Amino acid sequence: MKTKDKVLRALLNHREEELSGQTMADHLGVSRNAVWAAVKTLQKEGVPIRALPNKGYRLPTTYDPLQASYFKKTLVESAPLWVYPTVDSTNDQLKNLARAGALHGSAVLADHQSAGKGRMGRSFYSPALTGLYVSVLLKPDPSFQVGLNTTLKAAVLAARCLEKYGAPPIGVKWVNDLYTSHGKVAGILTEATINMENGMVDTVVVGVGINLLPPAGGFPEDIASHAAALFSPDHYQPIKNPLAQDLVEAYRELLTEDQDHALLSEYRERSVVLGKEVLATMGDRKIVGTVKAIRDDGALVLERADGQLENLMSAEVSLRGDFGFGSNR
Amino acid sequence: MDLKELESLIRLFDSLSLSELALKQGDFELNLKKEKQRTQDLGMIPAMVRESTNNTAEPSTDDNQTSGHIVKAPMVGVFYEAPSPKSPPFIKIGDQIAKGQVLCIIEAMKMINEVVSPVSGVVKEIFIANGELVEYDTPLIEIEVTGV
Repeated sequence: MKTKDKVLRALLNHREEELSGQTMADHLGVSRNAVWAAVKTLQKEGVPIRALPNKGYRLPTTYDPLQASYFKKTLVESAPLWVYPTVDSTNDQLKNLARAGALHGSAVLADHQSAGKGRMGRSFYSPALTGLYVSVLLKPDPSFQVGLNTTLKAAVLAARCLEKYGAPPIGVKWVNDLYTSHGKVAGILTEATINMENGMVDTVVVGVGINLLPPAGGFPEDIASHAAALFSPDHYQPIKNPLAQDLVEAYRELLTEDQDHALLSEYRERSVVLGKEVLATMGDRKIVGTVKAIRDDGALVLERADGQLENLMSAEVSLRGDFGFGSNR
Repeated sequence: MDLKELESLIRLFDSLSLSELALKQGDFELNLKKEKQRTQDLGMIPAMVRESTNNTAEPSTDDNQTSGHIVKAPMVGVFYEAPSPKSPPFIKIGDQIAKGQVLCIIEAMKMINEVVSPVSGVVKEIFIANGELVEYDTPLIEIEVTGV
């Protein structure tokens, strides 16, 4: 390991107070000058190390990058984890790895996506360092029937992980958007390949993108009205690595039958559209109705004004009057 | 409970994957029961398209020995010809395609499913327009098979 990396690790693991150049030098067995040079290099690379005269160096808590060395052995041994500071899209990267034969459970993690992907090629805004992007590859057992409700289940698992790390209560907007009372904080994108020789699902890539902190300079205009960050910089504690680890562990078990019932009930409890009047857009068609139910297969049951029920398999849904979060979560 | 409420309740019950519902309101009692699962469970992807590897070409007047393979929808959902509205379609008529190549996407419940070709050949016909909703087993694409 280079001195630079050792210095960075020491600073990441010691955020409570300043670390003096001398302490680090003694600890790492290098000269004080070498520490100073390493700090300069890191700062040049964009690591926001603060230097206080006569005290030493310190990283702000909001500097929370993924660290490949964090992940526990058992997790990495069962299938590889690829950790990137930046990648075009974690889903795309993992799909490439899947085509090259990557194992079930392989995961791609990134601090930043340069071409983040939403549904059907919409871009998913992915700012540097303030986000977390995790994709996990699943190769279902041939006897396992992959449900269309996979995205719903992935949304619940993400919500659980986020709340475990102190996020405010999370609601889900059908199908794949996670909301707090401030706005959309995360989204899920599930991509599968169907082998038409047998009609079975070969691979599933489930990806989640999370706005942990507000990006420097705010969210871009086109999404500023409904995007939000989970945490405020003032109270942020570094959680990215343990959170990413929990997400990978949870998603590796996504395609197991025994948790379907619990996850779908929880999805309904977290739903911000159930019982509400919504506008559903399907291509050129728009309908207004009240959400009566969310079926086990994930379909949305909408009651139109004329009393007819419609089962929606694919639509954009928005709540009247706001961007997705109702008062009673 | 008036007739209208009852009607809407029954319709709701019918649309859900419940097999039984019991309701009691004062001296009003209602029991709804559904016959064993509908013939096809919409919510599952792996379909019974196994027979689709058989040659489904209609007896044709074609003299050449190539055969048309019909790729059918493995699930319900929306058919997309391209990965995004700005991208070129995965395939067009006349394209030479290889086994394992992505032919189209079917999306349901925001799950993007890439349909992968079981054969090599030439695209003869695309039956569905971009953005159209397809039912399970709907013919999507015909491929003139040149290799399996």
